[in-house]
Amino acid sequence: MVAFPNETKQYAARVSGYDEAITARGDLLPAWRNFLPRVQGANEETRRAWSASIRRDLRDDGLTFTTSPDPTRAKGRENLDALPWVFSADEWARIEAGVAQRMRLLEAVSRDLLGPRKLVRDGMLPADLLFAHAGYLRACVNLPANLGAQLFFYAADLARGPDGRMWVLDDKTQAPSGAGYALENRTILGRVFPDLLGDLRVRRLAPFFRTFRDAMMQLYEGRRLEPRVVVLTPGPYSATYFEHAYLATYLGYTLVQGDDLVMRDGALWLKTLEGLQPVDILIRRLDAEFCDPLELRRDSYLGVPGLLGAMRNGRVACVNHPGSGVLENRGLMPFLPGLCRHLLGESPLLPSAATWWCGQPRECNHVLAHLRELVIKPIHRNSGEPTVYGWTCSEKELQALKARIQSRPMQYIGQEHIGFSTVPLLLDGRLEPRRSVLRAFACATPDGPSVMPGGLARSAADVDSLRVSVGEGGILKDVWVLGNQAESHRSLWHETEAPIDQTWFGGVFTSRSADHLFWVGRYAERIGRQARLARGILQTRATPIDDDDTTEVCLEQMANLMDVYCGREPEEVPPALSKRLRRAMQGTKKEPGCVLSNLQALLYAAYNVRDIWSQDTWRALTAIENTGERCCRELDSPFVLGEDLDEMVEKLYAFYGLNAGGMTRESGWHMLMLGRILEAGLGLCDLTAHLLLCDKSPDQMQALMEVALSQNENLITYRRHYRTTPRLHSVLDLMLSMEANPRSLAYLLSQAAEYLHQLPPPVHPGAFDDIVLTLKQLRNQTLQRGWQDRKVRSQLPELLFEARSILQQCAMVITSAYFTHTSTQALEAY
Amino acid sequence: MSETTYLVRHHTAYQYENPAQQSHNLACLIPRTFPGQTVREIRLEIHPKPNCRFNWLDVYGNAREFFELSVPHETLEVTLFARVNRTPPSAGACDLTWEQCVLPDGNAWDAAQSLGREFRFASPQLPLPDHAGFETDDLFTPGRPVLETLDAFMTRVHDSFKYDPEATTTFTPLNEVYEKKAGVCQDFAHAAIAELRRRGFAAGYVSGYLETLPAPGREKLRGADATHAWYSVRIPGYGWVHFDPTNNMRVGARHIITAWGRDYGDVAPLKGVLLGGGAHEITIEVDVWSWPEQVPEDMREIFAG
Repeated sequence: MVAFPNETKQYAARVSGYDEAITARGDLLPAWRNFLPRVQGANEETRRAWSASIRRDLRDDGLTFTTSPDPTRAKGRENLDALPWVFSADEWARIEAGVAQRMRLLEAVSRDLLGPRKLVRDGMLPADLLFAHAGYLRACVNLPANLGAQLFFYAADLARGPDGRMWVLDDKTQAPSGAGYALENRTILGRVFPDLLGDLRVRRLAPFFRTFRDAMMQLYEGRRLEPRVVVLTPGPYSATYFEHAYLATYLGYTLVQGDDLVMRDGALWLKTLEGLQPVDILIRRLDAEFCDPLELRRDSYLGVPGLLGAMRNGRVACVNHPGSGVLENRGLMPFLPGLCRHLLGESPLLPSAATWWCGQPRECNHVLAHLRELVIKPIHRNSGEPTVYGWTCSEKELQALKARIQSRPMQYIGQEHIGFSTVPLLLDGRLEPRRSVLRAFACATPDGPSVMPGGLARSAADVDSLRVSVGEGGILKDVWVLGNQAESHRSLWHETEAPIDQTWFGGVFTSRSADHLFWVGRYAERIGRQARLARGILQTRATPIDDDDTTEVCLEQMANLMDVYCGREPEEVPPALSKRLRRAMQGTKKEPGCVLSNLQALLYAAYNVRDIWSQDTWRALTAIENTGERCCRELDSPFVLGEDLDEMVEKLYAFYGLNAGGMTRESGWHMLMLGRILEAGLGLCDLTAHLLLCDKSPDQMQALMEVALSQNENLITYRRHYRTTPRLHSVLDLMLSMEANPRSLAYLLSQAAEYLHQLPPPVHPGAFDDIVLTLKQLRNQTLQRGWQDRKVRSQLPELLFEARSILQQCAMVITSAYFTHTSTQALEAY
Repeated sequence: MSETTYLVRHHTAYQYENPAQQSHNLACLIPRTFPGQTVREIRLEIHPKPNCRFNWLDVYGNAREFFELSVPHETLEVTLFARVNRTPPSAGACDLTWEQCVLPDGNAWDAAQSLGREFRFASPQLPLPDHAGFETDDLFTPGRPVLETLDAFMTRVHDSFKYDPEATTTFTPLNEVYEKKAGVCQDFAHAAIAELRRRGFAAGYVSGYLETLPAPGREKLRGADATHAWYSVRIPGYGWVHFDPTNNMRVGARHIITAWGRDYGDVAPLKGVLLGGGAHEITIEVDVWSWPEQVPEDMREIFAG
């Protein structure tokens, strides 16, 4: 049954110009004939369910194009359309051939411009065009690629003109982004339309990524048989960090930042807990100028000093070649058809938009005379100057534009405007035509470029708009290429013939990742204990114990403990309880220890190792963030707050559970656990000191002991073991000395020693061995206590003090043994 | 004219406040070979011994040496010994006017020379000034022969700026040099290049040495020479002509040329990125001896080993 019989007609009425799905007469084009009726057959409820499913998946994946400088603020995007852009097999074959040809052409141009520059000497390209472009990096000329292609991965932005042909708008040759989003979009739509992909024989993306991996190995010209590949990202502050992490995880490569790498003995190495490990291929997701402070931008902290040296030394291949930005010169556009004939002896298959480079007097005059009809762009993408659509400008703006062009003509191009075609989107449950641009991806192989059968489409949010970029509100779409024969489902890891480098699975932890994992463990534990205490305070306030005095004493001691948990000394005359609670949850700018800032620190650390969390774990982290933020907002509603605190504690346990069940027992896990254990030990010492070491009446002590047991999650255990109201010596016995209790000090100390023991041997074992020994001694002392003895009890403060200092020392030893070299020490350029 | 031979010794020592854990360095010290100059023998000594070193020719054809030290070190010493033959450049006649050597926008230049066009653009350390930093309009009279004009221009640079090593550092920006009207050879060269480019010439920065002569009857002091820098201007169909504005002279057989580029940054003799190390002190000693008569005894066998 068709839910919206007249929908196509209504849609057709809104189309102006060329549409991808329907003809001017309102008939469906062949590629859409099997797909669109399925959409029309879905009623409103189904359509809403599609959108909801997409939103949920996007949010859960924490997938984002955010440009927020604070990665922990990165919310899921909500900009994936339910409908794909569908291409027939024939049509795609033409696009495929055109993109492949363009990539071959650009590779040839790159080889010339980064080598002999014959094109300039022979007058095929104006010298000024090369020299005026900031993407021409002199240090990269004649720099060996150590790979059979300078341009290994390439993306082209295409749009369909009014004549029905696909036109090239732009070339991405440095570190093209979007392939990860294409993959993610497909995964999400696969859940929305589980049968449709198979029914329509939509070509899968996985084979392309397998080709990508295999081709890189085949093109590698270095000496190692099984080269190690890493993905270099500028880090979580980058707008496309998620994608870097997503792709690295999918392809099985280690995600690294500049700090993780070092150039030593003429080669490139990865700093791991196990020591330096060689790196042979670097997938660069960092603009080239930031890659090497020695030879490129001196002020960059994102790169690796000596990287270009390692390339010159033949020891590392870099994908794409650091000089490939020379091709992202928009002034090249008008020369490419000629170069295609000259270099390849072929006519260009894909036309590029008519472009005039203002560095040539005649062309410049043309542009100035037609400003109103043209699109004006800087030749250098990162120049910071926007694209200007002449017809949207006021007279004054045009004059200013004209002056800019005249003062630096070589920096601008004028481009003919291509009226992009529209594609149907599902907006508010209704089919809507929107102008769209297709990004197609290709990678080099020994047999020539291989084009991804799919891609990333971007559509304008508004009906008249041409602005499709995500930063300007654009909407993403999946791209479906219909196949001729059904493909079997082959995920990336199936049927690989080549032996897979063990390190891909071997859980390599860079020292930096280990550092972040250690802090994930610490912050998660810290937040957990703060949340439990906040919940305890709310409960005690809501249901007073015995008499008011006792309640008051308990609340007072708990609030003091909360201060300590937040890293501040309790005041002599503290403010009102609700104020203290607010301070602990939200803090003020000067107090970094509050729940909210710990939460941000947790997410920051977790986000930095985004590639190691499974989807479920990431979902748990996202839930911790959401409930945590709600908690900090809802202080005025104790009931809601209590519920949210419950949920947050629960999610923290879910997070632990997922890690305990899923993480391999390797360095990463040990670091996570060490962080957690040290933090738990420190917390236990504080808790004991503030709740059990005070001088109060027996009734009050009784209540405080119950609070302490409950806060340490030992109340039930205590009742089962001792079957009495709490007595101090039994409480101390359970919470400190009983090693069978996983929340006891003795257990935590022995676990700390155990996990330290399992870490890879540090370079300087001295201090390390000492701390393991001290931990064991202290654990033995803790075990042997007879807490009935008043004299023994009097030594408790000393024991707690000692335990605290040893646990802190332990954290310091770990830091200096494993993490110090990850910090960016003063890198000084002279 | 007969050729002259020189032995150059260029010694640089860094003393770091704290041990540097690692350093990656780039040297641009080895003199070029080109018509008029032949490098006979070269030795580049580096202490402590680098973990890795290698060399190549950069985009301008200058010899570059990369070296990396990955052991903690408190000092770094780099010493160049080079024996160089120099023949004075032939001073052929040139009948072009200065206007004919100014490069217009667009493609008016013939393709064979087109790579030289790079030198008329702004470069990292030398943004194109929008006004003259010193008065030179009176020199560029219509139809004046180009060499005569450029000689007068060099003299004007020489007269407009005061030689003062205290006035500037390696990284002093051009506008400050223009304000102070003082500096060292690097600043003289930069000031001239920026103004020439502003006028549409292709001009480059050249690093090297100048043989200094001791006062009559005096011994030449050890380490008393200095590194030097000047500029060169492209004259279409004629070639690059080098001018030394610090000494107000065309570059001749007493100048030894190390490298050329767009500005100082392209040919910095030594640069590096250091992990740790803190502050550092630099000592530089340069000797330019005419070979063999001026060369001290202990230096004669330098290439024997």
